[in-house]
Amino acid sequence: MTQGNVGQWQKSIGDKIEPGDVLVEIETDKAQMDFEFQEDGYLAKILAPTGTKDLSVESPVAIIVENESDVAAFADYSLDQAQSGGAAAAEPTKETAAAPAAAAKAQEAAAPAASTSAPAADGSRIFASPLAKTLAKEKNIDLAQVSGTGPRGRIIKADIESFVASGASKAAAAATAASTPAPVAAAAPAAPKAAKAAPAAVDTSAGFTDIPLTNMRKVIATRLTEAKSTIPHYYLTQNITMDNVNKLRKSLNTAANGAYKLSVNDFVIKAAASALRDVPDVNSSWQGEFIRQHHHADIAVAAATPAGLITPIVKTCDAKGLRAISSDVRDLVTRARANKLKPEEFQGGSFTISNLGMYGIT
Amino acid sequence: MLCRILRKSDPESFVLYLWRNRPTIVIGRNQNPWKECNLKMMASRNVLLARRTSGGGSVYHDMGNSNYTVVMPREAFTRDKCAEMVSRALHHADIPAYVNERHDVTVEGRKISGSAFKLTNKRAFHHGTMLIDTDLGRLHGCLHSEAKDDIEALGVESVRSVVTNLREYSLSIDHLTFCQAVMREFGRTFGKLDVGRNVTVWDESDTDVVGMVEEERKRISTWKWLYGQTPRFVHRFGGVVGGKPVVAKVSVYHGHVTEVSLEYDAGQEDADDCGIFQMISDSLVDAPYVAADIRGCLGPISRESPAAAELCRWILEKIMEAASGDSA
Repeated sequence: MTQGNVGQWQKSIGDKIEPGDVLVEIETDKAQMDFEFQEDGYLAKILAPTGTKDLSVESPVAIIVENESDVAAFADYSLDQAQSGGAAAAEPTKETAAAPAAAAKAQEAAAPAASTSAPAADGSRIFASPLAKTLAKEKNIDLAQVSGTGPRGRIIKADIESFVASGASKAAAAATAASTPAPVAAAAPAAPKAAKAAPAAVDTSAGFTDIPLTNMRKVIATRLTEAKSTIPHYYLTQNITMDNVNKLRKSLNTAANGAYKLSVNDFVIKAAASALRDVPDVNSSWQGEFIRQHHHADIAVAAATPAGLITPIVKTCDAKGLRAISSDVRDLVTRARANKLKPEEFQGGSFTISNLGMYGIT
Repeated sequence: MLCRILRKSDPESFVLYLWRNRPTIVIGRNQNPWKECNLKMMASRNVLLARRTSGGGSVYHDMGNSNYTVVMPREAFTRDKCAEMVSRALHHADIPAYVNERHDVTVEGRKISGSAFKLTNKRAFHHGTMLIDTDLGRLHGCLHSEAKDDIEALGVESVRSVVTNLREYSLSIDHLTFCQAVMREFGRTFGKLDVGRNVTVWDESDTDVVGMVEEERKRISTWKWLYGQTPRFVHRFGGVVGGKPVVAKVSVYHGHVTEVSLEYDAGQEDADDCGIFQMISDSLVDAPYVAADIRGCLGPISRESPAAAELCRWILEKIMEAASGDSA
C-alpha cells in the first residue's frame, strides 16, 4: 500500500487513546480498514481530516501526546511548523498480519510544551515507536538491546535497522517469513513460502523414466487440447440394432468372392455420409466470421499408428459406394501406419469417426 | 448480517454468503450520495439507498443482481482471489469471465461485477455484485446525479465502467444456478463443502433471523448513517437571477449545511442584496441538506421581497437537482 484515503475519525481532539483503539478508518483501493493505535496517549491534533484523498503512506495523520495537558498546545499546529521545528520524522508503515492495516504513523513533535521530564532509563519501560516495536518483533530483536536515537532516547525504525545491519540478529530471515502475508506488496509472496520446508531433492535413480516427445505427439496434444478447450462439446448416445446391417454385410461379403471385404465401420461411414447429405447444418464448420457448409461428406477415420493417432480422410463418401469406401479406408490406414500419407489426406474433413468396437467399447 | 458473520464466525473459517435484494443503490463507506446518485429518480422509482461498511464505489442492486460475500482469515486475503473464484464458477456455465486490473469480474471488456473489501485485525471480507438480468436503464439513471459536476467532495468517487448482464451470454443462468456454481467453486477453492450440513438458506419468513439483525438494520437505515456519514463537501452552482449572473456555494458537513456564500459575478451587490444573502445564509445553516428542509427554511425569506423570492426559488431549484432524498 502506498497511499490511501482518510475515512471517519473515530476519536476527537482531547480523547484518551488506549492500545487497540481505532483512531480512524482508512480506505485504499476499495478496501476499508480500521487504523488501530497501539499505545497510550491523547489525541492532540488531526492533520488529515475525513475525506482526504490519496494521502501517501509517509504523511502524518495526527499528533498523539503522552499527557493530556499537552493537547491544548497543538490547537493551532500545522504541518509546516513540523518541518521547520526539526521534529521526529514520520515513519511509513506497511500492511502485515501482526499490525492492523495502517496508513501513516502519528507524528510526535519534540519542541512545543515539553513539560514532561525525560523518563529515567530504569529498564521498566522501553520507549519505542510502534513501527520499531513491530519491526523488532518480526526480526526477533530484544528492544532492551537496542539503543534509541529518537527524541528522549526513543527507539525508532532506523535504530532497529542499524541493529540488524550490525549483524547482531541472525534470526531475521526465519522470523520474517512466518508473519508477513502483505496483501498488496509484491515482495511478500516469497516470504510465506520460505517458512515451509524446502521440498526434498528428487531421487531420480528409481520410480520413473522420462520419455522425450516426438513432434507428432506434441502436435496431437496441442490440437486435442485446443479442440477440447475452444470447441463446445455435447454428447448424444443412441443404441442401434445392427442385425439387419450385419445380415447385409455377410451377404455382400459372400457375394464378393474376395474382391473386397466390408467391415462394420464401412457401413457406419456410409450411413454418416448419407446423414450429412440430409442434414447439411451438421456438415458445416465454424470459420469465425461465417459458417462453411460443405457440399460433400469428407469423413475422417481414426487410425492408430505406432507414432500416434491420425485421421486420414475418405473423400466424397456421399458419392461413393460401400466397396469404394472400404478400399479407400484400407489403403489410407496402411499408408498411415507406414507414415506415407500426404498432408491433404489427413488435413480437413468435416466429420470424424473413431471406432473402438473391436475392444468392446461402444 | 454481514457484520455479524464477520465478527462471530470462527477466525480460521471461510464463509460464503449469497443474497439478493429489492432495488437499492448501495454506496461505499466514504461516499457522497448527493454526488453519486440521482436521489430524485430513486424516490420516484422506489429505489432505496444504503451505505455499506466496505470501501469502493456505488452499485445498483435489484432482483436481477446477485451478491456474494466471502469472509476469510485476514492472512488469506488478496483482492483477486474471490473474483477469480467467481470467474471460474462462471466458466462452468460457459461464460468467458475474467478479472481485470481493477479486480472486477468482466466479460469481453464489460463489467459484470463490482467488488469491495473490508479488513479487520483477524478477518477480511470480499463482497461483490453479479449482474445477471438487471434493469440496466434504471441502473444508469439512478447512478447519475445531475449535480455530479457541481459538487466538490472529499471522499471516494465511483469509477464508471461499461456494464453488461450475464443474460447476454447465457439463457440459462439465473440466481439459483449462479449460487450453485459459486458454491461448488467455493468448495473447490477453499476446502470441502458439505452441502447438507454447512449450507443454510434464509428468507424474509425466517423471523428469528430477521429479529437477530433488526438492531443493525435500524442503525443503518438512519439518516445519520446514510447521509450524515458523508465527508465534507461544497455544492457550487451558478445561474442568472433577476438579470444578474450569480454564484452560490453551499458547504455541507455531516449532511448539514455549514455555510452558504452568495455573490454576483460582477460584484454588484448593494446593501439590500447583502442583507438578503445574509438572511438566506443564516436560515440555511444547520439545515439537513434535503430539499424539503431547505424549502422550509427559505419559505419566510422569500416573502421578504420579490428579489428575495426569485433568489430563493432559484436556489431551491438548484439544490433539488441534488438533494431530493429522504428527510432527516
